[in-house]
Amino acid sequence: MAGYIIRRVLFVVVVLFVVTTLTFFLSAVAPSDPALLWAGPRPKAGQIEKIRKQLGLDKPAYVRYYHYLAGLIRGDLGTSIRTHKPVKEDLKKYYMATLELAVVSMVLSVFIGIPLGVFTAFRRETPADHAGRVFSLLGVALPIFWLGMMFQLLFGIVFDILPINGRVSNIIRFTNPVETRTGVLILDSLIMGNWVALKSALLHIILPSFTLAFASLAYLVRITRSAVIEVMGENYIRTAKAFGISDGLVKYKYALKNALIPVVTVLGIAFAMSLAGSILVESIFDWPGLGRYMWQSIINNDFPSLIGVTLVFAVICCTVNLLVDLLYAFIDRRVKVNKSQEG
Amino acid sequence: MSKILRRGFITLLIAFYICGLAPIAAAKIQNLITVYMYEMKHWDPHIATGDEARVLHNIYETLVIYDDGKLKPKLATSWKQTNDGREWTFTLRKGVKFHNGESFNAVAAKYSLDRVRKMGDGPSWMFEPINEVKVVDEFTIKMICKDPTAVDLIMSSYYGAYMMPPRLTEEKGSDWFQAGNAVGTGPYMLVSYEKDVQTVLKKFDDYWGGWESNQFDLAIYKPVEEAVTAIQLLKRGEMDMIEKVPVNSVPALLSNPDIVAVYSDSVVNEFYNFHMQKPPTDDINVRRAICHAVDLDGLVDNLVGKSGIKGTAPLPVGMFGHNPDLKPFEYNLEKAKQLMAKSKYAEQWRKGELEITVSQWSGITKSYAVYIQSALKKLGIKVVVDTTLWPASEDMFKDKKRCPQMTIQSWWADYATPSGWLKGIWFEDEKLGWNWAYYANPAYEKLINEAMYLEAVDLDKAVSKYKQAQQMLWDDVVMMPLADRRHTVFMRKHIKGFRHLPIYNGAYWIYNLHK
Repeated sequence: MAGYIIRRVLFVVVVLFVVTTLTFFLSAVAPSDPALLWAGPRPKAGQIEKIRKQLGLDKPAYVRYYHYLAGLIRGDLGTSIRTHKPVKEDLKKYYMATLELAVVSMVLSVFIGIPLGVFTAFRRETPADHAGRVFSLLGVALPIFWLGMMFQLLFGIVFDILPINGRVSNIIRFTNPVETRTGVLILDSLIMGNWVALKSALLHIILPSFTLAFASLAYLVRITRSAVIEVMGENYIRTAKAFGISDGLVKYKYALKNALIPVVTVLGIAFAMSLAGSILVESIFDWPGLGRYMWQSIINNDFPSLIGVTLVFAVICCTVNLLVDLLYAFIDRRVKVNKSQEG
Repeated sequence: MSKILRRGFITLLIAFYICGLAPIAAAKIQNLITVYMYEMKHWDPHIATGDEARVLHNIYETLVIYDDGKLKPKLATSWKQTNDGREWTFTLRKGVKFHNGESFNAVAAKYSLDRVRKMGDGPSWMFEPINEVKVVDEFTIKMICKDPTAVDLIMSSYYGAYMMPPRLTEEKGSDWFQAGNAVGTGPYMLVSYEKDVQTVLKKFDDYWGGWESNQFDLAIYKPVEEAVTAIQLLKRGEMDMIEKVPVNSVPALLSNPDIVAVYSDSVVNEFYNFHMQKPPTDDINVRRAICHAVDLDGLVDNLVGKSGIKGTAPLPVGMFGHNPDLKPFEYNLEKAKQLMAKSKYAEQWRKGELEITVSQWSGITKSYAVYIQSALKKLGIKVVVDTTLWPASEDMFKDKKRCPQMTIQSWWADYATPSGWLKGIWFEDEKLGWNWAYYANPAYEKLINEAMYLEAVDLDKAVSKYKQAQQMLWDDVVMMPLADRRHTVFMRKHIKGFRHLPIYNGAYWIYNLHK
């Protein structure tokens, strides 16, 4: 088991190295002058040259890459050209917001998607099942940014019951500020007993997390449905029923547990989808997280922060996938994680 | 669900509801305004040259402000110059305090003006003509320049002319301010700055201008990434003033009874430069032909709408010195074709081989480019719309060989002077880097330099020289004006007192606003 984990971690390091190299050289090749970005709207001519030297842009790409890698090993992610601050500092500020959003949306996906999948599996070919199918199709087909804007329109304007941007109301942020303990607003306000802020934070997270969850939710419904249907056709289910075990027990103890195995595998992918979707969702809902930071970095070809965020996303994805694989091995005792079965 | 669960759930719901009631009370106590915010790259007022000034000018103040064609006193109550325009004496206002308690006086003024020049950053170039700032007595300073200079205009600048507290600034240094701190003499103090989230300004009780009861106590500046979200926030009342509204969304927005649009003159204009040293636009007949081939009225009506008026000169109509007598190019395709036949590229034109590149950087400028493309198609000139985005495009424009034949440019005033355009753009001096027309005319440059000296001594003579210079640009067909932008703000109708001062582009004088 330990060997497996070590091997997986080494693999992650290789992935990160490839990601860094690719991103670095892509942005080096992209036609855009970071010095101009640093300077701002109306720089004086001499200023640009000065900045270019300061940022080391007068050196060839491979030299810059070497310096960047050297810094990376030391833990220095460079300085953002757009914000003029160390990338590490920027990332620290924003990553908890994205994690909060991603986790909440995963929770929603799982606790709505899986039961819904099970529900439609046990009601095959009924109107409920067809509705479920349409819902899944919508989930994968609808563009996430459109969905976000529609939610804003529907719940923010037409019904006017939910806030449409930010993590917490502006006024409350000022009158009842939340002290940062974990960086997760909901947890922090809960810990500090700041009920006003807690309510605001909970209301604010509803729309963005639903938007983000929608695609993976639909995906999970489909996967769960087919997994449950397949398991229900298995021999051991028929045997259990023949033994007279109650319908409920058969469905939820024997069938579901086995059906969840492929679903758990998919969770890793669904989480990666959440991170990717966060770029758009955070921009629409002005959620101050890594997604929005990544978006601004892309638009401005701010390559240090671009690589920084990509690295963070890569690390998170790899970690989640590793956890999911371990979870998978844990759920299904038949799967042994050892040298001979390494794959 | 069991009874306990259900009861617990209901209790939670009630608790949830009660929690929410407190802040609504808080919001009613204070007069609050929420406005749209642009990114703050620099908080140090002697470095900032961009949208930061929109926020900074509520916190910091200058000696004078330019309003309605006149200079009005702010931190200076009166000023005079010597006859040759080289020495300026300013009398400063008494009883003014900085937010940290320091007093504003001649020492503070000298410190601030020395600092901006010494730092040599962003806006410092405006202050280069000033050689020395002397403290005459506690509330009088004198500025000495080598050449006649319109120092009063410079002191009204939107950038760099702000007064800073000497003791605190020396102690903390620029980095502290850049991190998101601000201490000035203005009506609002900075309470908190959370990047990408919000900036909160609170009223400065000891402000020298005094306070009325219906003014705003608190101003929240909020950045919003998407225009659509900003519009929704305005509709909900969560935001009181926004700007970035796409032209097509305007009618729907204005149909809402709670929202009004306020259009004001600005000193922002948009125009195309013609590359004077690249074929085929190096031939004046071709340039004239292009001007006759584009229906500018149609362009402005369709693409600009109410947010601008057709451009009529190199300067926008809101800028003093604007020449209103320049003869516009009438839309006449026949005349355009005749001019093309006269040009030295007539042969290639007839064969349909002429091609020019038009630049754009997004949104509306892309629409302009496409409009030009279809207009010139009728003339028989092929247009390639360049797709290089900023900042990569700037590299391209500064390279004479790679710069497109028509480059779109948007310009605004750093302070109230036509020289901002006329010298800032069309001088041959490569160092300035904005001359995408590659215009090289020593007679023109001599005229502008003379006008700038005259600004200090005889404004009318200066204006007549500026007008002559514009006529030169017009005769040489150096540029094609598109639109003089009208500054547009969409706001909740309960906000009163909004007046946009053109030189201070995009500034909301929160002090002037009230319910």
